[in-house]
Amino acid sequence: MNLEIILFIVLALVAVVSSVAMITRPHPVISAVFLILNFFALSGLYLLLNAQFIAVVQVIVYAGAIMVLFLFVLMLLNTNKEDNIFKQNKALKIFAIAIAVLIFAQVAFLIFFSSPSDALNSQVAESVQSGTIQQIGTKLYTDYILPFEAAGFLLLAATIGALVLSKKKFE
Amino acid sequence: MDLSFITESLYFVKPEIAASASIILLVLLDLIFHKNKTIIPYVALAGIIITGIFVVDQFNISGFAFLSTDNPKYGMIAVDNFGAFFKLIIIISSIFVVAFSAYSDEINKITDRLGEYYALIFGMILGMLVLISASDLILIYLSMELLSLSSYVLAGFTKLRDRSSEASLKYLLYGATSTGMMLFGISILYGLTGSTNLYIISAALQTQSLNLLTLAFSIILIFAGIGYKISSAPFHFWTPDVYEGAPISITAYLSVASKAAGFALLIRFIKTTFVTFVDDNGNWQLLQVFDWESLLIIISLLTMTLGNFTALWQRNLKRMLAYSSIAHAGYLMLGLLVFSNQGLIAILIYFTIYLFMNLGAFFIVMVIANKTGSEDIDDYDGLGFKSSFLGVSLAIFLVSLTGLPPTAGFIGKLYLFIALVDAKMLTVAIIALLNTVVSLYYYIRVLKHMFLTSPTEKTEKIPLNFGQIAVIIIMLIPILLFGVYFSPVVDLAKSYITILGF
Amino acid sequence: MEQSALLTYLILIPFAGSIILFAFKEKHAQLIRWFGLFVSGLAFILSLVIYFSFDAAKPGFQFTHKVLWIDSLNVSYHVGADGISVLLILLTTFITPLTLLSSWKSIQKKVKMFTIMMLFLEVGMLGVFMSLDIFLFYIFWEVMLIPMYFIIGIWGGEQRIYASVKFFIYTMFGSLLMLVAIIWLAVYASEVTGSFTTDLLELYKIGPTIARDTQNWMFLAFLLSFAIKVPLFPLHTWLPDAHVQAPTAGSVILAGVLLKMGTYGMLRFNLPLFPQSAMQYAPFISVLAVIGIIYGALVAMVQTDMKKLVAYSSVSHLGFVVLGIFALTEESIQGAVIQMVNHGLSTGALFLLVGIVYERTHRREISYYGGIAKLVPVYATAMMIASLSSIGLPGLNGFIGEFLILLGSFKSQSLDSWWFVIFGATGVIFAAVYLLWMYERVFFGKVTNPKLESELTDLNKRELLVLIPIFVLIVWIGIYPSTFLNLTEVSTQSILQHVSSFTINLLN
Repeated sequence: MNLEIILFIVLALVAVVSSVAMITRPHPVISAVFLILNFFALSGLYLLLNAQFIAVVQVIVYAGAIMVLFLFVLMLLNTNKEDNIFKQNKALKIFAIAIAVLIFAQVAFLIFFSSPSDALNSQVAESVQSGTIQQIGTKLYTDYILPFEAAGFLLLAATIGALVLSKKKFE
Repeated sequence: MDLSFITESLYFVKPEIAASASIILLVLLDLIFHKNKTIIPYVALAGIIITGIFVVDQFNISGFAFLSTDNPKYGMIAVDNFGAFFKLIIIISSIFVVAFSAYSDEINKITDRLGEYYALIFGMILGMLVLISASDLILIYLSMELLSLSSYVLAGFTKLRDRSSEASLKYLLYGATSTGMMLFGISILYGLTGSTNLYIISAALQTQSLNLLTLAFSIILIFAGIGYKISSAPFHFWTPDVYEGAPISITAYLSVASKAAGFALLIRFIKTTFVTFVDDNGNWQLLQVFDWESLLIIISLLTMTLGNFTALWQRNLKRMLAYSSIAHAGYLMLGLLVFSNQGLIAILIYFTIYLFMNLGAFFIVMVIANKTGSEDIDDYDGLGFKSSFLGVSLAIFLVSLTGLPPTAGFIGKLYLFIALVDAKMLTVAIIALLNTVVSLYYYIRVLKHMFLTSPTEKTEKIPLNFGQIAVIIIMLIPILLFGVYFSPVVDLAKSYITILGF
Repeated sequence: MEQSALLTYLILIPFAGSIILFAFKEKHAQLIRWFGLFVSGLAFILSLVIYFSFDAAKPGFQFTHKVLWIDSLNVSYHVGADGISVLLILLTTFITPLTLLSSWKSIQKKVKMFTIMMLFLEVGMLGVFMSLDIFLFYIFWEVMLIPMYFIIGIWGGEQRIYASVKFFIYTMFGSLLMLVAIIWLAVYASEVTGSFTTDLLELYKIGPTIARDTQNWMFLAFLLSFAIKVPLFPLHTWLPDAHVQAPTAGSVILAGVLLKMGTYGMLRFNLPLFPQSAMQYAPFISVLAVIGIIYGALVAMVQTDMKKLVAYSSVSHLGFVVLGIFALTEESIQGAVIQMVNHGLSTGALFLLVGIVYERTHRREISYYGGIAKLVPVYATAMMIASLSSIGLPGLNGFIGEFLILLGSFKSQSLDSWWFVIFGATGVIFAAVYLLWMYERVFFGKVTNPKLESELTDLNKRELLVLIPIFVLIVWIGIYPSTFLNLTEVSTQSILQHVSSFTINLLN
């Protein structure tokens, strides 16, 4: 058993346990902290896949910026306990479980039975290369320049939208 | 590194560049003219018209832009006549929406927000323009997000109304879920074929043997995203609430432009990815990897039936028109599920006509709501006699939406049914016809309130200014003219059906 | 082919008239009435010109006018008339001014819209009777729905909204199925001949070649649409509502012309386009027609409302027309055509007469009246003539039509049974019973209701002016029917020849 597999098992366990803990904790702040843990485990998994850039982005953007913002809001709102909607609505609970099982089965099927494209079985060395920031940058500014610009305008629209919605009064 | 292909590509995206420049210009102007913002709508109109000129200019120009360095045969964007047609629909409806906004009391109350309002409308325009010609799943996803995000905000733009905020939030939640599903589907499709480019995916589907169940799963997930945009069942639940809560100008825009973009995407996705060739009779030969025909038949019939039957019980006119627009999405799908050029022509004709009749109906509802502050059907009692021009015009638009001659709506339906009969789908055609009978009931109910019920004390004469009359007449002319002489629309549609192939 | 724009002018007159009317001011009601009357009178004069220049001896369509309309579908504006069309066009242009005249006093609100709607209706009706392109026909067929919806819905009785919506949805349902059949025919034509066509004369050649089982479906789709309009039992339930709720003018137009469009459609489309299916279904449809004759008569007998009674008598009378058409003999079809006119005249007159007393008393119940013959002798005479004409008294028009239909059915090879004639003939007897019984209760005896003496006044000049032309025609057709039978003889023969050339082997 080499180090890679051991690391994978550890990280995967952390990811699963933290995500289960996240949805079962009644207190939202604790849930959020577990979510951060989950993000860290995920970024470790990305590193194992030679995707350095995504791993870093995962930590900086999600675990760092977004979750801090999230926690900030939660504490400001001072919500101690959320109401359990499933307690009032049993049918909803059954429906949710059914959907979850269905998606789980589907994903399991995808992992074990579907054949991924041959085009993606690249060599390890190549995949190390393609994960670097330089490589991603080149791609973004050549092949994917248009999606990149679109993403830029998406952010602009989001900024304007946030401004409009957050402003208290019009007159 | 040779980057000339990027600059060469700019030639193909002139409309998109014009729209982008307009967004930035609008944001800047909003800052400069802080006090008096009357100039903003004119700038927006000019931006739309310039974009439109570039779109018209694109007619009969075709080619790929933003080629991939790995596979320089295909690119991010496929410019073709089919795309140009839908862009034209977007541009025309945008011009009307600017006119709507100018006459909308809801929008005029918030003059100091006009800059943001038009900037977001341009956000939608840009998203739709890119969405229509995108041939890469990543670009499709991003432009769809751009479109959705702008429309979420616009739906909730008049925050003063409770329903508006509710509409916005509902729209956001439904939108996030379905685009999330779509993204999941895209990732699976990428895993299966190793590419996000529709043309390369199509080649992969033809050569490789794939796990069909997985493929079906990913397609259904992607369809969820598109189905949400065109508000087809079972992804239509957001439509009535959003249409009712949003400002009417935005509702009208969503019901025409946003739907057109969604349809363009659906058609391009299917045509590019799953159709191998078009035979001499104009029938599309589908790849035997996924049963699109059954899926679309079920969805289409379900959409129109749900839309029509639910519309029967609506008392709010905006909500009724929302359900009717769901039903019309179902009719439009009829043109796609026959998989032939004939069907595509029918869709283009239908969209041209739908643009005018639906916008027209919404415009009159808006003018009336400006005065009465209500969209309730009971407030239309006797309106046909108090304000006869409005009443008669609304009656014509509604009769056209029903699809009765001699209005243009009949021509739209006629071509759809010709396509269906041509494809020997008589059962589908008959179910669609029965739906038309159902729709007749709720459309003429409005006529009943306007003309057959006597006016109450509450009914007042709706004052109209010259501009409003002009807008209504501009929309009435095509409805009446194309109803009796429709060769121009048919010829137009025929010249615009080419979708870039291999 | 020789082009003649006469029929086009005939359509354009009421159309232009209704457009011009938009410019009138609502308050000039009297001017609007005169203008409407003038326009419809002009149309009548032009249709008389058409009648006199029509050559009854020539088979085929005359005054044809064909202009290519829509390139891509090969649809053309193609109108023309044979004897049957000319007769029905005459009926339309004859009835329309009379109805406008009859509503001189009874329509007081929204006169402008009323006149516009009536003229629009006339455009639609004329168009239906002269279209030689199936697509054009469909457009005219549907165009009439909206004016009729408003006429019933705005100027009708208490239940007018229910009645108008029911009328609209019933008719629309049928016509949409017809639309599918029309499209199917055109697509089939494009497969057979290589070009899409909706020209009726072309389709006459193609229709009979359709495989039998598909032909049956097409036939039924067309039939359903026409049968709803006629209305054939059991699709008649919209008719009593529409008739009773419609204003007098609406009822007269409905009975006089609109219902004829259904029977005309059967004659013009169902028989020549699908002759084999027509032959196959003839007994079945005739059974429905006979049920309609007897059912309509029986229901009419128990009515307490005069207008409803006349409405149900329509169901009965149109059963005769349908029976005549599907008996497929020369006499029966000629009888059916003349009966269409007869029904238009006599039922139209009955509706007018019921409307006249309703205008004065606002009551339609039979029990409200009694012994009014003494109060209004002229009115009583007029009612007598109209009733006897409707019953089919020899010497008046109804007799000619019913006699020819029954004679033709007796000889019919497609029906091949006497029972149709026997049951059909009982309808004539029932008609005598319900009409005369109604007459007796309303007119004879002592004046039962003292209020009537003050309310009722006899016919005035305007009302006489409306009724006398109708009565002249009633007597004319009854005494000298050849004027009209000659008109339709050749056209009927050519339809029958066409049908029999395809069905000759089916009979043996």
